[in-house]
Amino acid sequence: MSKILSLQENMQVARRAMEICNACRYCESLCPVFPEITRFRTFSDHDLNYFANLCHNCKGCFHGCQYAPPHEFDLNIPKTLSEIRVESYSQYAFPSAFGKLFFKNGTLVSIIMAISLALVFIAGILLNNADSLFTAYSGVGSFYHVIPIKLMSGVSMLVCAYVALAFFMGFKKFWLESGEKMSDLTNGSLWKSALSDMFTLRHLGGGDEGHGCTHVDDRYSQSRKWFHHTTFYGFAMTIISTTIAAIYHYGFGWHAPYDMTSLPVIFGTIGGIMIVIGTIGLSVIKIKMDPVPVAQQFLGMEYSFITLLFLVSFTGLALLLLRDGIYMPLFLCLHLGFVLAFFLVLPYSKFVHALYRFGALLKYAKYKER
Amino acid sequence: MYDVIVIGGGNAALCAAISAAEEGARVLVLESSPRLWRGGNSQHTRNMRVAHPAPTRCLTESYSVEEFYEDLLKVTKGETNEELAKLAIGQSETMYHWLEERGMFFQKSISGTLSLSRTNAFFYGGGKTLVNCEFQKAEDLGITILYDHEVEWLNIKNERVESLIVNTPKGKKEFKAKAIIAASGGFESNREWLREAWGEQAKNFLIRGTRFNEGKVLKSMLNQNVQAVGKPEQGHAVAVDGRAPLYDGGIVTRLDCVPFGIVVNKNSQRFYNEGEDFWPKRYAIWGRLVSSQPDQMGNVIIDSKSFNLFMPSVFAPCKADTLEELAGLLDIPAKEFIETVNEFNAHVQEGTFNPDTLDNCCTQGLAVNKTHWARKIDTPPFYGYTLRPGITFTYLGVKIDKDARVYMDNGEPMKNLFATGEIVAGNILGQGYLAGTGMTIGAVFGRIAGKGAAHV
Repeated sequence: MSKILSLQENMQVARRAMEICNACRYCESLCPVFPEITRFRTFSDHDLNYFANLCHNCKGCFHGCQYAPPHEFDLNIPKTLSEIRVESYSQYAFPSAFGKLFFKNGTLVSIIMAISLALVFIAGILLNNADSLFTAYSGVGSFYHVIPIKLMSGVSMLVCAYVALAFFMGFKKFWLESGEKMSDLTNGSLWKSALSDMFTLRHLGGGDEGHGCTHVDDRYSQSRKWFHHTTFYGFAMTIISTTIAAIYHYGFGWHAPYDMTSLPVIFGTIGGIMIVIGTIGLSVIKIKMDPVPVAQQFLGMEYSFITLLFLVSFTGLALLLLRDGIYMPLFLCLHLGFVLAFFLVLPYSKFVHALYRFGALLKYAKYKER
Repeated sequence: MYDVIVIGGGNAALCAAISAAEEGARVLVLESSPRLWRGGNSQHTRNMRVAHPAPTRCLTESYSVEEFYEDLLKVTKGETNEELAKLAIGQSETMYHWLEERGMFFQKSISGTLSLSRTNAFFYGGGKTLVNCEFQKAEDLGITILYDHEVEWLNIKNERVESLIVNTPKGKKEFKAKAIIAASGGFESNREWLREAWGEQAKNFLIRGTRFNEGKVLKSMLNQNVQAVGKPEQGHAVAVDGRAPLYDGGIVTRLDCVPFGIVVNKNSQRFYNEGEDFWPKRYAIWGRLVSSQPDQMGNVIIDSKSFNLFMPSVFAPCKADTLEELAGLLDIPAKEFIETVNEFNAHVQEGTFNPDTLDNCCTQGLAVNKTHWARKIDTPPFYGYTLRPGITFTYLGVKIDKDARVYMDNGEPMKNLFATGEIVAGNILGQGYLAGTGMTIGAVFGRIAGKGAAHV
């Protein structure tokens, strides 16, 4: 494994790389990064952070690079930009002292997961309405016999508010430091363009060619795009499910668990299955991929996030199947433990790639039609 | 036992291999480089010249077969084989579609190459991506590819290649096949041969492309009375940044700023009209110009007025606030340098500077005048780049006919030997160069050679 460089060294490597790319330009139609480079002659740290977050890590520019190792220029754009990208997450983190959490991220996620599970189980054991955790409950409000509704909703609202604040502050820092104004964000056409890029994941599809990207080796494939967006839309469906459930609960006074044919269950089930499929697919790609264009030291962050997402969904589906029996309280606690961990680490996990990638796509939209 | 062995691993070799395999032949590709260096000079290319009657997804307007041929005549000054040239040009359009149908992708011309958007189809992601896709297609067709297999000798008897002697990681081995296709490039990486052909000055040449074009296959053929084509001293050389690596510097080492400045040799003297014509029409002569200067080096000098007029280069220029300081950085005599610049400035005429036209900014009364884009070098900071000759490829090769078949000196055709790529480029490019033509020649004659070899 190659030496791990300091931030300053990484920036220097990236600056040199951008100068080589700017003199070559063969990769210009691979993705938005390369046409953006040509707007510059010199590259500030903020420019490099922008390129790093605009990069979708498709690796086409590595496999097609005449200056990739063993060439003495040793150009490895996907790896270099991956390193800068994670450094940038750390710089934008709110509060800034938590930026360090991105560097031992696998460990962080594991610890938070352990603590969250423990807390939920302690709450479940202390607060449940029966002598044993292995007690079957049925009918409306059965979950709340294990964890009281006030605790469940209180904690989730607090955590969500914190996550929202951290995301907003992080995004604001990214946007301002990259040289843009908050007032630019009122321009609807930027949002239209960036949302379209996000919903279609255009830039992992091989651009106009539509042949996909080179994730595992130098062969084109659409697999990462499909598995990513299976996960993405699955996640969106679980959010929709939760939102509808919240409306049912607070708006109509209809309490969980809901029927198998109810909207929250349908959205949640389909979304959960999609996440399970997507996260397994993404993991398989990661296991099989050529290690050279990859920032190995940050793989822990990727695997831990994908695993956590898988566990949230898997235990959610298990809970659905077992909700009428004596294992319901056990699986409810497992599921809620993983959910709590997921949201607690959210602002300091791989998830933030979505935030800054979207920001970079907004910025790209501003300049692409120049 | 293989039906066809292809020697080489660039675009020409792979077009030949794919074409032979599609004809039903069992094909073996012997690539002298390791896998990570595969692709010969093709990995450094970016486009292929294509005649086309109407706009395509990647090519603008139209480019007729006749116009392509006229362009070729202009650069070669008529030194071409008309039959072969017209064949390559005539098939360039179907070749483009042939590649697309087999999973190779094209893109619109990249920035800084607008002048080529009509005539040249750019490879999506550049030549290395093209070659990757070609290797994948070859693997999908069941073609065997052996890396680190350098063919050093062809056993030729009675107009037939009996076998190949190959350096492999496990020592020398003999390979046999019904037919052989030589697509192993020129000899530009062989410094000893370069010195023989180009003289002592070759010691200061940089090789812009692969380090694996040693010319062993070519030499083996020429040593056994295979008919040669082209002159050893003909090739394509440009002026590149003197700090470029010895091999594989590729596109990024070029310097496009010559028309906007002056070029002095190691004695601080100018030696050629820097503003003779647009750079795309002149860059190919500067390799020769620089190679005939003392120590085969030049220095291009611009001032801050011109710094943003050209494509950025890969190495930062020497930068100084005074001419004297710049001379120190470039290690050229300062007194003479300042005199040269002052003399140049004193002879610059009034004019309207326009980098997009052959403008009227020129000098008058100098021994070496600059006829366009001549502006005083007077606005610090001053910038300087060292120039060296960078050789792209050589033209000495083997004669072929319209079936890509190789000939003996006595005029007899070889029974089972075909050739394509840089090793046959001299048939069509007697001298000069037309961007993207090498890839056209390699692809078209590769397809022909593969088909022919499969039916030997």
